[in-house]
Amino acid sequence: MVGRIILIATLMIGLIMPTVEARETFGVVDIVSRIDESMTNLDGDELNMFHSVTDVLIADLSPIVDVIDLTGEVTAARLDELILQLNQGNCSELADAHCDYIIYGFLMNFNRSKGDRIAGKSEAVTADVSIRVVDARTGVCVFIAKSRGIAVARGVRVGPMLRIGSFEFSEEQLIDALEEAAHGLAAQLRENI
Amino acid sequence: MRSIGSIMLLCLLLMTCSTASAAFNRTAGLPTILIGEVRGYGENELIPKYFEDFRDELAAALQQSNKVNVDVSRIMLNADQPSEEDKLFSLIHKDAIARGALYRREYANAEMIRYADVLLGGGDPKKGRSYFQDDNITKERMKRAGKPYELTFTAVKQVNEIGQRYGVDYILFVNLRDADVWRKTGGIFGTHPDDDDFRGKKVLVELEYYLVNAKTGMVYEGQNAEKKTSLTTNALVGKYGNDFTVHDMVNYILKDQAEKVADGVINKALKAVGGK
Repeated sequence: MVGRIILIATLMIGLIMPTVEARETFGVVDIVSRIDESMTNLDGDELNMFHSVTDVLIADLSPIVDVIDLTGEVTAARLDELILQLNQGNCSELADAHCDYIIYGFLMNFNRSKGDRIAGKSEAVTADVSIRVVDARTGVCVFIAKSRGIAVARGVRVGPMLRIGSFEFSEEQLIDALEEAAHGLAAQLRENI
Repeated sequence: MRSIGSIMLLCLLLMTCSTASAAFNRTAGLPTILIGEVRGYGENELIPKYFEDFRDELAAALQQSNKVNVDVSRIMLNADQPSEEDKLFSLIHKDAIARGALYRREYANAEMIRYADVLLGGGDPKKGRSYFQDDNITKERMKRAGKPYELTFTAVKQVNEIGQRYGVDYILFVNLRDADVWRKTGGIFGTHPDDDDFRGKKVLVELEYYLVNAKTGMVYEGQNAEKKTSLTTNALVGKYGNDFTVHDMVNYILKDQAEKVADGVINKALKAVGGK
């Protein structure tokens, strides 16, 4: 009788445990720009826009893994330094977050694309974003993904405009492009997790 | 009672298996390629930002093919302070370049020339240069283009060790040999050169890639060159608008090149050096 109870208990633990333990924790750090700053009027304010990539990644990945936002752990001014450390395989600064993997990335390029006609609009903003996933324990890069987002202007453009050369566009347009790229990145991650 | 014990043991085994990390596992049955070194051993070198972009593009292009497993653990390189392992990869890369048919002394940088002079001249590394240009030798070398060749004996041993350490079948090296942007003088747009605008400029990117079999030390070399003249770029200006910059152009070309290298590695190089 005791044997049967132990057997049933072990079976139940065996069935339940994998679903509990298999969820890994991913920490996401905001992306940084690799673009030549002299070409645009983007300054420190773009960090708020780049956070939209983090938001999308967290929303898209949270059904299958635990995702936490690590950007709050560092000040905006220190983000570049943190990315540099991660790029050199040093994850010690984020050790307190107890993540299995850390996701960080770069805005590789953004510009307008005149030829990509979407919804009758002739001018769109394109953003190329790449992310790297590093193992938080070893600092080794385990995965790279790259995606492109395209967004057209939404209605009347008001407020301060961003600029590439002489081409002006709204913040919303860039955020839309970044979010589309982030959805693409999350899809690639989901395939490999 | 014995059967109960064995079932419990099985359950515990199942538990330990399923709790192990399953993320980013390699697909069984596919060859694994380690991206070894992406560097420029030519005269004109790109700024580090473009190397970073190119590495990301290359890794993403190889991963998306779903025909190979890609080990990106060496993607983060710190060229300013190369580690002992970085130096080892650099040595193998230079060995693959020097022994290949595509090596041209006149287009190589000083570091590459120093290595190749000793290797090709069969000289003493302490004495330095012992290689002199011979057109007949160059012609003979060019005939071997596209055929697999072997690394030097010591490099083969090092490649074997790296293959075992990383658990990979192949190591990929890319030599971004030449990247240049210059004004197209005499052209219709050459009269209005503008640093921020692509019009009136030419862009050239030349690269070679080397896929090394980590078990045998056999190498396949391939090359790609992209030269965008004003005709091509005018079409791109039409597509992207007048503010299409040199930065965009180089990004555009590098993305194109990364896809071509991935295609070449999968369709040609893997078959040539014993791909599955």
